Amino acid sequence: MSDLVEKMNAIIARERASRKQAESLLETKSLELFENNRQLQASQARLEYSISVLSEIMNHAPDGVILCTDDFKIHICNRHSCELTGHAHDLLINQPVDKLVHNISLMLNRTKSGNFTFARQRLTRADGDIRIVDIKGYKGPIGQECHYVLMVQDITEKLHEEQQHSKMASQLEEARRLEAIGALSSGIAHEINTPIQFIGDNIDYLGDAMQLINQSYQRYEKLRAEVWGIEPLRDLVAEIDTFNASVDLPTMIREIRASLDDARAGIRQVRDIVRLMKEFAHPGTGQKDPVNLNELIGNVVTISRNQQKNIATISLQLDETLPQVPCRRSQIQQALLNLVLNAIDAVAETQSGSGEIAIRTCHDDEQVHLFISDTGNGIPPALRERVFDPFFTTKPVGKGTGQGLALAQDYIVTGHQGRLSLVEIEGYATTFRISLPLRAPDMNLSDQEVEHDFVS
Amino acid sequence: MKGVVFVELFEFVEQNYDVFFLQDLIEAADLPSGGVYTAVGTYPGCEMARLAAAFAQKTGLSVPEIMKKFGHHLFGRFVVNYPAFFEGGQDALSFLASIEGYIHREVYKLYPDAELPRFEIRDQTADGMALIYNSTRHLGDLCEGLILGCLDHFGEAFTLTRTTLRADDVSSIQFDLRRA
Ligand code: HEM
Repeated sequence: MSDLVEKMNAIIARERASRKQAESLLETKSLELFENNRQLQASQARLEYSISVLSEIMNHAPDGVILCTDDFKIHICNRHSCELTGHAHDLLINQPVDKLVHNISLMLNRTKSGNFTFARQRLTRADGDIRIVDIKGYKGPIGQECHYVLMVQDITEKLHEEQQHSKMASQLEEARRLEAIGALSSGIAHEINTPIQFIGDNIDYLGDAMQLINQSYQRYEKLRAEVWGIEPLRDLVAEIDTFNASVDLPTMIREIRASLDDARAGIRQVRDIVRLMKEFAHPGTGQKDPVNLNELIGNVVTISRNQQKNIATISLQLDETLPQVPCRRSQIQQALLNLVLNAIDAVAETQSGSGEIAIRTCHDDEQVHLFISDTGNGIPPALRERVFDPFFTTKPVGKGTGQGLALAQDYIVTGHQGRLSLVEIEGYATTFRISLPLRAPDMNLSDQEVEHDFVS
Repeated sequence: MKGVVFVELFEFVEQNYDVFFLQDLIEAADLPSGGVYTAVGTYPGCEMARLAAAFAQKTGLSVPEIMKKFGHHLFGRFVVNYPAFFEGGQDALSFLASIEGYIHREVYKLYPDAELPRFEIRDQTADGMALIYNSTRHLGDLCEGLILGCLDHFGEAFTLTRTTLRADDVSSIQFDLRRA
């Protein structure tokens, strides 16, 4: 019996020990569980923080951030990518990156692992607009797969600004050069003026002297005719006659007169040129004087003669009854010159390198009109609206500042309340029309109206 | 070895003999743990061998016979304890084929320190297949008992042939099942 009790006790002890062990195991396990849970919570909090920081960074990144895998489809993209591309977020996800930048997948594929930069790529927006972007990024494995992280920066505006800056810089450069030329020409004009003055004076003096000598000669001639019959003088008279016959004095006197006239005309011409040079050096605003436009056209043709050589033949069709227009002579002359120089350039750019320029004037009761036409290549319809833009030029950098037309427009429209517009004249590629009012316009003619005219 | 196997062994002994027989067995086996087991604990595999040896000595049954019988019993216990694994309405073959990829994988979640065998399935058809048992614990007999318990549970008649492929530090045993 005691054997049985002993056995029972042993069994009970074993069972109790088992229970104790189970309990302590449970405690350890629940402690472990608690600890694991705590760690899990901590790492979850860290993870959540990282995620929120990451998403903040992504959402506020000033550049588009795009993540794609080996299939070159967009897997993740930030808010700015949507703004940049004009696509909604959901419409970007799973789309091929090539949809944004043509053939970027080829470039990504070809590039080595690590950082890459693709500068000045063309990004097509949802609305079809093209933006210029710099793409920097990283190619490498994230987990098992090869990933591409693309940071897309829109540099369209920056580029535009840079271009504007360099245009402005070259414009400034041009202005400086013109200023220097202006100063130089006014100096030269001054230098030329003085000698021309006394050459002119001397020629006038020579002319007057010639007149007097001629008068004196006429008297001698009378004397010669009188004394011809007097014997002791006959030989002397004969000698004079022989000499006179050999030099043909009357013809000579006529010729001297003619050459003095020529010289005077030449000096006038030199004076004109000097005056023009002065005017160009100081194209001040000044007040408006009645000006004969036909005359200005003559000046401009003279000034640009050097540029026209072998390139353009200029034909004039000027209205002889053109009334004088109140204007600032030098401004209008400058505007005209710009238009004529443009026309010469246009003609020079053609295949043959030469052509015709026609300048015509006419008037009605209110305005005078001036048409400058050329047989150049013409202005493509798409550019017609932009030709008056301050920086518009089709010429290569350094050839022109694109200021010519803008300046002409400014002088004509702002300076004279006139109009500068593109019109069509049969037989010519491009025709500009300048219209200037004959009377000072009333001030309520709004700029807008004027604006509208030359844009259309 | 997981305590759950020892706990089930004790139950098996108690059911077939009695609680005193079990106590005698434990004392005879002279176990380091003193026979104190809990299902979730882990104990040396040699204790199972000692228990089986003591069992054999007391009953005159062979150790393989005991392990097979216990395996058969153990499977019945799995059915009771883990009903979730038996909800799919499978048959014996598909159940056995799912141990490696599903059941033992779930066991591993429950007991991360479990030392489980590796099973390969070959030539599975509607009428049979080969199941190859690989383990360093050399429990081929227990395995055979589990398989037989499984066949009984699904009420399917198969002939089971056993071929030892390897018996060194690793046991590799092929069980061929053919529909009878
Ligand atoms: C619901 C079904 C099953 C469950 C829950 C289950 C669970 C387990 C558990 C908990 C262990 C102990 C692991 C250790 O001690 O570390 C084990 C071992 C083992 N299981 Fe299963 N098992 C199942 C079905 C089967 C079947 C059908 C077989 C036979 C084909 C099998 C063969 C084995 C073998 C042989 C071992 C011993 C370890 C070894 O030999 O390496 N099991 N199983």
